Amino acid sequence: MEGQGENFLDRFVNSISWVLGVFSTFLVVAMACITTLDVILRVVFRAPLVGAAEVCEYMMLSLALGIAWGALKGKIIRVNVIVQNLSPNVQRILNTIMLVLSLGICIFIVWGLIKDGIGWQRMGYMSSVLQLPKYPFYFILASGFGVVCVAILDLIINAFRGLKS
Amino acid sequence: MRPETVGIAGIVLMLVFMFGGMWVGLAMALVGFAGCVFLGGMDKALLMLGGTVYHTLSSYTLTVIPMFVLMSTFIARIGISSDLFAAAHKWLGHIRGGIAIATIFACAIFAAICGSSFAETLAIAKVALPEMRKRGYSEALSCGCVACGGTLGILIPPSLGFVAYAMLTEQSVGHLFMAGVLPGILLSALFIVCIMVISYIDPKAAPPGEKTPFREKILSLRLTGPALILILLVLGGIYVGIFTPTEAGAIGVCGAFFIALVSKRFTWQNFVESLWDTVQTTGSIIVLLVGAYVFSKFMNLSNLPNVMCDFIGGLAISKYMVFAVVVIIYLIIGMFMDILSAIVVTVPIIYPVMVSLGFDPIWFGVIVVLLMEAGLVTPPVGMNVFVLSSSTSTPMNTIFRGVWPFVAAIVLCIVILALFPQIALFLPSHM
Repeated sequence: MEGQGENFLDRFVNSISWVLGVFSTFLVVAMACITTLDVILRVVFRAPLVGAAEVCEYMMLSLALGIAWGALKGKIIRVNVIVQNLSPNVQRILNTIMLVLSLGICIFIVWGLIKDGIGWQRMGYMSSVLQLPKYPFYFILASGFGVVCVAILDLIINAFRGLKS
Repeated sequence: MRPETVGIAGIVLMLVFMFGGMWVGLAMALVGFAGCVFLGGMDKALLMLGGTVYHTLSSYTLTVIPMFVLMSTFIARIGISSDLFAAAHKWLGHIRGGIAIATIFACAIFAAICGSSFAETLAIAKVALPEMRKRGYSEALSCGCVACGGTLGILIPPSLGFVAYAMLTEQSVGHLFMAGVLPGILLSALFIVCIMVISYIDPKAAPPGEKTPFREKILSLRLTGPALILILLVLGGIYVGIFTPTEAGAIGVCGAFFIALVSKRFTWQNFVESLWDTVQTTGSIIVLLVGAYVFSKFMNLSNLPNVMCDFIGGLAISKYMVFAVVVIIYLIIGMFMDILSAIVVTVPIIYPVMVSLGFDPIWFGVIVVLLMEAGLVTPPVGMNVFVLSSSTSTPMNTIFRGVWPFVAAIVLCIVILALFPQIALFLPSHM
């Protein structure tokens, strides 16, 4: 997405997905450190880190913030065996249709997560060990898929413009 | 319309979207959600969607994925694979087909610390292929053994294939990991027999190299130290029960980091690139798992798995006949899809049928991963062959020509496991 054809949305999507991706790398390092520390404390000192599993669960949820970054780097899993044998024009049309459908389901995922999150906020549900509220993580997850929506929208616009296949 | 008919229509639609080039996870999520809307209404479907996405990702067990991906990518970058190959080469290089056998040895040991077949294929190809080419090995045999040796990465634990299967079937990751050990050793042995037969039939395909003095052979064993320490740490810890597979991933990451520091192979570039790779790969797996869970909800709502179980149970045929059909279906699917997609797409439909017929779920997990291994190297979509071809500029036809004997070895391994399931179930039963 770099180069002369880059517009505002391209730059915005690239920047936001990169920032969230880098944030996710810190989460991965933190998960590894917390889990290792928990094992060492449990095995050596018989005093496990209280709530380590819960923190890792929430970090795992937050890793969804890095989905858009991977998607823009082409890491998303697709089956291209049939599509690649079609003519470039048909490929472009098919790609656009599939992107529109992808955008549709991602919007529904964001909607479902926000709706659920509001429900949990009203109920005031807390995690069992650390007593952390559950609902903010619904919104974090929704943000992750929200950025995916913006990234797909950008891909659709570019597909329409014929800038990329 | 009957719910089962909606289920069948959903499967067809999902395949259309998937082969139309839609992201696999999103294709499954879209069809799963649309099916639930059709069968249960918008409000219920939306509630299911939000809840399923959250509960899929808020699992402590799922943290095993970023941990093992990080461990695999980091290990693949710090040169442990070249050490393993160098040691195996010194011991076996002088016999006919020795370097190819050494490659399989290196692959098998490397597989025990690396859960990704692509990372393994790339890491081993870099060191083994130039050596085999230098010694005049046939291109087909060299590439075939590297591509197929690389597939051991998903059978010998830690394996991402087993993690995905465990998540979808609610089986123990630890039991599945241990169930992969003996079949992995068996398959490595079959690959070695395969190389020996090829080099016996065509001696020019794999000429012997020079003999290494015994002292050098002994000294080369120290090269295997880091890998063996990591294997003992990760697999030993799981088997003895000191930590869970999820924790083993994190311990493995720290172990690999420590080894890289001690052996002075640590570079920031390697570390940062491994982290970036991990986040991007984890993101793609997250989407795939979310899609699979949403699709599973739809399948359960349509009652299709139960109807299929009743239908197949009512047929007057042996359960092994059904197993044979499932094997053929998986071999075909494996030719067109990558392993994780194939597992998440098929397991929600086929797993209940196999369990209802009395097959052991852990044993079936091993069979599924073995079948997917074959899929990784068979045309037209042999992902390992693509990886090898693009990284070594070898024509794909040459590689595909070389993999067939090894695919036969994989099929033979499946037959042996079907006859003697205890090979897979021995270690898990002693945990």
